[in-house]
Amino acid sequence: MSSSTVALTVLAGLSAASVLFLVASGLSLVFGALRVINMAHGSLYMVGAFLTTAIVGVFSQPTIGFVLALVLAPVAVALIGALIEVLVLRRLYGREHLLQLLATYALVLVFAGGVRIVFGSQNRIIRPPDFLTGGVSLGTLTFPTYKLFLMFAALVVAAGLYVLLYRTTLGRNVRAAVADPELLNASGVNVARLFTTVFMIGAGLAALGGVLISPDQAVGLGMDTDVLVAAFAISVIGGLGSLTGSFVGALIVGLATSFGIMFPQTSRWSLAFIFVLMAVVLMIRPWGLFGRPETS
Amino acid sequence: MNWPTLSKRVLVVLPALLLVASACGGTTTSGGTTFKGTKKVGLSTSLTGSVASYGQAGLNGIQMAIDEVNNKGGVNGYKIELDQADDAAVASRGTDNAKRLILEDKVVALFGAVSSGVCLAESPIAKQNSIPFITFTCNDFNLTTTKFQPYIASVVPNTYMEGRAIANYLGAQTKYKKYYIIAPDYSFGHTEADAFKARLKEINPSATIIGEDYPKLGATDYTSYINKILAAQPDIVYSNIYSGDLVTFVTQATPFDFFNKVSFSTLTSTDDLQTLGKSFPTNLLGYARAPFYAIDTPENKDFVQRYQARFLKFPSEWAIMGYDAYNLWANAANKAGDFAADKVMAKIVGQPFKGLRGTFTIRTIDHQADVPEWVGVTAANPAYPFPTFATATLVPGASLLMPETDVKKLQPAS
Repeated sequence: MSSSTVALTVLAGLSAASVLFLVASGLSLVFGALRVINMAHGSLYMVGAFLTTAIVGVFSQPTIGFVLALVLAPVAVALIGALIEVLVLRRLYGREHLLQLLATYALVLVFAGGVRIVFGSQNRIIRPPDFLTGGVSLGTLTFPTYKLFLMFAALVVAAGLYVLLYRTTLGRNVRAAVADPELLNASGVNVARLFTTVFMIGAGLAALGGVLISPDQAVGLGMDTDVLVAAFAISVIGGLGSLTGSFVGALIVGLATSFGIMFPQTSRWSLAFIFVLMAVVLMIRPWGLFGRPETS
Repeated sequence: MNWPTLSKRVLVVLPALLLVASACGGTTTSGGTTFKGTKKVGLSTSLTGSVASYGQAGLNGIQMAIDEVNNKGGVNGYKIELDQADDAAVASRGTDNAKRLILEDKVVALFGAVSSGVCLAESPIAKQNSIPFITFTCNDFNLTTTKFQPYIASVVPNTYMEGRAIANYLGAQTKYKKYYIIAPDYSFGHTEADAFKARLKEINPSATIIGEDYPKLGATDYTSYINKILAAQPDIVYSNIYSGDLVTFVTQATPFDFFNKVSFSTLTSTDDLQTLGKSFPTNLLGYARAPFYAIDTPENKDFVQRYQARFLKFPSEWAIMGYDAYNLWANAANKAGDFAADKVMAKIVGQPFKGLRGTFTIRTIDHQADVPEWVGVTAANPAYPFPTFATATLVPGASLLMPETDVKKLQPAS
């Protein structure tokens, strides 16, 4: 591989990792605090993307629509998240994971059918904002401007989440919930409200991923399950509940897939890498690279 | 400290749930007055998942045909209702749907899915239960060769025919010497790429395949594949990725100036043209199974108008072929005066049928229709909000069919 191909492969891996991080971080946060595997996380991502196409469709100028969607879609989906948490998940805390899986899987079906009824089956596309179209010259290379924006957006979200988790009272309580929910309960924190808030943040992150991906791929009915599988694998690799884990897990998966595709010997297997990595991590360190083992 | 981990039971169930895509179903009826009763026909297709737009178009075409036939008295005096089910392009869901439609809902005919993987799973169930199985979108040639069964009929050009049509078209242009192949990683993508390669070797022996990639169906990031293709510097890329995958590929390749750097040939479906609009690349060497704007029959022109009036969009290939598929079955059942599969198939096989694409015949040996393929170069067309083939060339189906001797070798001995 030439040096320029290597550079493009790294960039492709990083841009893929950016989207994966956005989705996986929300999934991981929700599992960490609520102990619920939210199968419908991909559905919330899909709803975010479809809402984006609807919002952008209202405006003749794509930039205005996109900027509005960046705010409105995560907020709308966070509100949907609040409903899900209050109406469905709240009844399932402390129950076995299987029940939670089935309940949230039922939501996957509801959202798939609902999105089809509301938005139809036709794939949709939106144009990126004008200043993010085309490619950027990086020396002799050209790389899509929008992909670079995706990396920037992921870094901003990562920094924002870090500040939220490590510099705010809410974040302290979330981390306490991840570490020991029973102790948190005993400390006087309103756990019910905390859980709703965390789920809303997770749902908002999923939707934000959906908004950001909309100008880069077809917005269609399969995007819920496609992203869920990858996000779940990343969360397991990085450690469920760990923000750092999601970040590193996404980087590993993004780069491994990107380089795997480039070599003829491995390209046929590149899509299996993510699952091989997950299996290896589960065998050696079942709590993930940055997670901690359950002690009781 | 309690750090979250997953129980073993969850780790077993979760992957299974992750693999199972979503589903929904329902029934539809159409108007009519005097009928002996009601019979159902089944359609298990992709109504969710990455190829749902194709599934919905096929459903529209079949529903329109059902309503029209019902308005003319139905089939054998019965009003026909469509019993639809979503397979989300997952073979196991297709199997479940086919069993439910046949055994519980008692459908008298089953219409095929979008994905060839699903159709390959459904066909044996139709055989076991003696139900006519008409395919109009899925087109793996194994359906009519290695997996042939007597109750199948295909009104779509199969992968052998389509691969051959585009190999003839590209292979004749000898300026293309270095080919790169990109196809979805399942039965359709592989069998069509294989048919393409085999025919290309005959047409232009100096052509070489310098790279092949098979991303999964429903892939969402093609950036690495795009980099790889550009680095390989092929003269032309032969692709059969489609639906949301093609839309994503085009969206992600355009900022690389991909379509100005490399010639590109791909399946050019009206659904994807409508989605991408003017973003669909021009100067692309396309192939299509039933482009509505190119089919020069009065029946098609009339159909396009009726379809647009009802669904407010242009009919894609899947709608046109779904319409043909239903009418093929309904005409045969009416001629047979019966719903029994053997009697209906006897009126389908070896007989001419006038559909939207003209008159075609379901060949006796493999029940494959000699339907055409269209090829052409995309160009802006002021008549439509998307590019179309500047000149759509019809490749007659008879010239594309697999020779009967080869079919015989592939078909099961029984």
